[in-house]
Amino acid sequence: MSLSPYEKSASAQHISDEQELLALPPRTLQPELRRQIIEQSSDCIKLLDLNGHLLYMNRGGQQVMEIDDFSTCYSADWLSFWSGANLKLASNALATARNGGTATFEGEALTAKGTPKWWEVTVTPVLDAQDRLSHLLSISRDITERKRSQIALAEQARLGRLSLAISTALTQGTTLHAMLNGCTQALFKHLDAAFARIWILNEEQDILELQASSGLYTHLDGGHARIPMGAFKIGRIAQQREPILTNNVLEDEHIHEKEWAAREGMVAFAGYPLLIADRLIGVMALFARHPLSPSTLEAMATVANSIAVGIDRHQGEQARLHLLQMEQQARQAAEHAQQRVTTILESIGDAFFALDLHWNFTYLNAQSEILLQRQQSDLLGKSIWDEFPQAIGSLFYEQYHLAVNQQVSVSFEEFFAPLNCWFEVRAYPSSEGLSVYYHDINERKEIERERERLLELEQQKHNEAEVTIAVRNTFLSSVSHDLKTPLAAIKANLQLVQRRMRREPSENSNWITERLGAMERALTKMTGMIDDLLALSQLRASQPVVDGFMPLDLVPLLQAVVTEQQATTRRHNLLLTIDSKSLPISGNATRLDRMVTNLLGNAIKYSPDGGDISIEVTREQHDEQTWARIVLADQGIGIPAADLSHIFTPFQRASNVTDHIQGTGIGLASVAQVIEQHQGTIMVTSQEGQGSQFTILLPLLLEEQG
Amino acid sequence: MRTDEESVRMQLQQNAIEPQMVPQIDTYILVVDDDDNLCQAIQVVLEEEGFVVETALDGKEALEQVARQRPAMIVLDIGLPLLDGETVARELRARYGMTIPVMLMTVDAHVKEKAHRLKAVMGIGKPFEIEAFLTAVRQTLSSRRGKASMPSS
Repeated sequence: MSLSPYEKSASAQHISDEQELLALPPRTLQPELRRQIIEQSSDCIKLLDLNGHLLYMNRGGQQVMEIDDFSTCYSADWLSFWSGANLKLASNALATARNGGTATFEGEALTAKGTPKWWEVTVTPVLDAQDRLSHLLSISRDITERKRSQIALAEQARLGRLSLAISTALTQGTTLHAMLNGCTQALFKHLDAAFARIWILNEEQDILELQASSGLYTHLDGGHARIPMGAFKIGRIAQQREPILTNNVLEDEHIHEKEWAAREGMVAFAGYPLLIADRLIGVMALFARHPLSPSTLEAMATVANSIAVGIDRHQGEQARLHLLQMEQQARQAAEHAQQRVTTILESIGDAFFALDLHWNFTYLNAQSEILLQRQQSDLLGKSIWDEFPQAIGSLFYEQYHLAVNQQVSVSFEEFFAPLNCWFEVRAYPSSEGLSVYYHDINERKEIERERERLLELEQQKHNEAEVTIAVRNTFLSSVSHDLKTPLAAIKANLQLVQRRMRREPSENSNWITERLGAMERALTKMTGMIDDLLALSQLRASQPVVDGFMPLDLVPLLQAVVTEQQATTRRHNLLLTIDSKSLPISGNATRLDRMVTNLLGNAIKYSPDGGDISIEVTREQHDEQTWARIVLADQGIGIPAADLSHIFTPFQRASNVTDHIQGTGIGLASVAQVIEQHQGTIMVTSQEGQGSQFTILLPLLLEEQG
Repeated sequence: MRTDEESVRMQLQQNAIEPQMVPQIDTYILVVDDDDNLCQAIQVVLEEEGFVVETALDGKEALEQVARQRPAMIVLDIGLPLLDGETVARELRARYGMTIPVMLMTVDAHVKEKAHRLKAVMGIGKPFEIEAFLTAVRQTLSSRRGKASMPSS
């Protein structure tokens, strides 16, 4: 039985069973028939009182509403079936009907058993016999099937747009970032996601790097910017190469940020590995505030595949581009190098020319044109020996032939008379001929000549000075020798007289002996001064260092000198302590004797008030060598700190002795020289007014064992 | 100078007398120094000590004197005219072996080294103390006595 919408609508107004309904017009059908039609209609037909309370529902209606027992629903508020936006629609429809209008809307409501269904609802007023509003009639038709296919269509369209947007992003993005940003934008927009993100695997570090983020969060440097493989749900998706999908994030075991998800109203999460075959490219994921349908997840799976392919292709292209760039750079570098060689050849101060195997010029730079005083165009293709015939047989000729024949590089300096120029030349043979680098060294030659002249002059002056010194030394030496001879005669005769005076005393003997003593003291002083002069003449004489060196023992030498020096004074106590029985040394006894005598003489001379003079000799071992340490300490006038550094310099005397103690300033210089000749060292410490301390180290001979 | 020295040496060789022919007197000392003042003083001192003393003022004279009369020892200066002390010492050794001990006397600082090199028994630096000089003379003589029994040459 098919009924037109009109007939159905009209018949709906004739309902039996209930008193009120039986009275309803029109009366074109038998009441029983009308009742049957109404009862069996698959539309849900309800009679409501003016407050919207349910009074009647046809049996077909009870079936679609999945109501087993209508009595439980009787007088229920019709609006309570609705919720949300639908409640508003239903409420508006009731109001319209109360005002005598007819309202129609589509809305979703649950059946009694909780099945969600879509309804097309019409609410109309019902009038009594006096045309007064008595009831409201609501007819709801189950349009769930239609609605579902509509939604599916819409979703298909939406997923189609998503795919389009993704492929657009993948093909038109110029950079990886632009590509992926386009993808997350598309996911965000077309899937109504809260936010969408894409990570790419950094294979070297095994870390997922966030590359794009759209929607609620767009930063790329947050907590999830770098996710190690296996960490969080993203890392797990990557590691297991399996998607994680849920429409119930608050319950799902994989979602850890539950508090955040609840606060933000997140409902769904979908995360996909981006794979090409088994190779992981990255991870794509989104959160949504609404459930994701199976077709959405399916679409996302496809999208994930496209994105993976897109990224891979991009990376491949990047690599290819990179190779291309490298190739181009290499080509440019080669071109630059070529240019640079030319530039260098032109700009180097060196002149350069190249000859082929027939001695013809193949190249010459600008500097060459200047030095050879010829134009490039004059020389190219012409033989060097034709153009510079004067060079034949010269050193240039010999060396160039040597270089080519022996295949060796040559370098030389030569004067080329025709050009009036000194050249420094380096020539390198090759399979193509000879490369010649050269430059003008006239200036350098001039300087060299000048320097040689100066050196010669200096050498001459030096030699003159040497001669002068030698003459002086010879003079000093012979003068002091000559002076000593008469001194010896004076002294011998003086002592002869003294002996005679002792043997044959007279009344004047004492007086005469005294005067002779004074003369003898003066004589001794003069002898000392002559000795100093002799020492000076020998100081500069370049006698061999080891002249007269022989093994000797320092112990008896020191004892002898101390005894000798003690004999000259009664006011000083010379205290010699030696910790060894013998101190063997290779040396010159005379010089060592003179050295110690000099030092002790100084100690006595510069301790005018007398006192102890200690000479402590110890043996010590260091630097794989045995040394004699001689420490000579007096309690004399000392040496001013300012003079300490130069007391070993000839003719330098300490400032506190120059006026009142005689000396030539030779002694310590000679001491230092003797010690140096014996490979030893001397050090001095002194406190003015308290005394001086000289420390001498002399290397000893190895003592024979056994 | 050199030609002088050479001619003197030639003469000496021509006039060479067999050493054994001349007797040696134990108390005779020849003093050789070009400074007459020193020679005289030494002569006086040595004569006071009982020695017979002759003096020579140059090397040539010294060798001639020795040839005439061999001394018990020679006090020899280094710096001498005509023939220097070193040459004289070598000549003496060449002619008479070690029979005439030499006591070297010099203003040179390296007197001991020189004495050693010239095989002189002693060396003394000028100027000297008379007592030290006499001690050296006695030591020189005693060395000869120690070797007196040895055959000469």
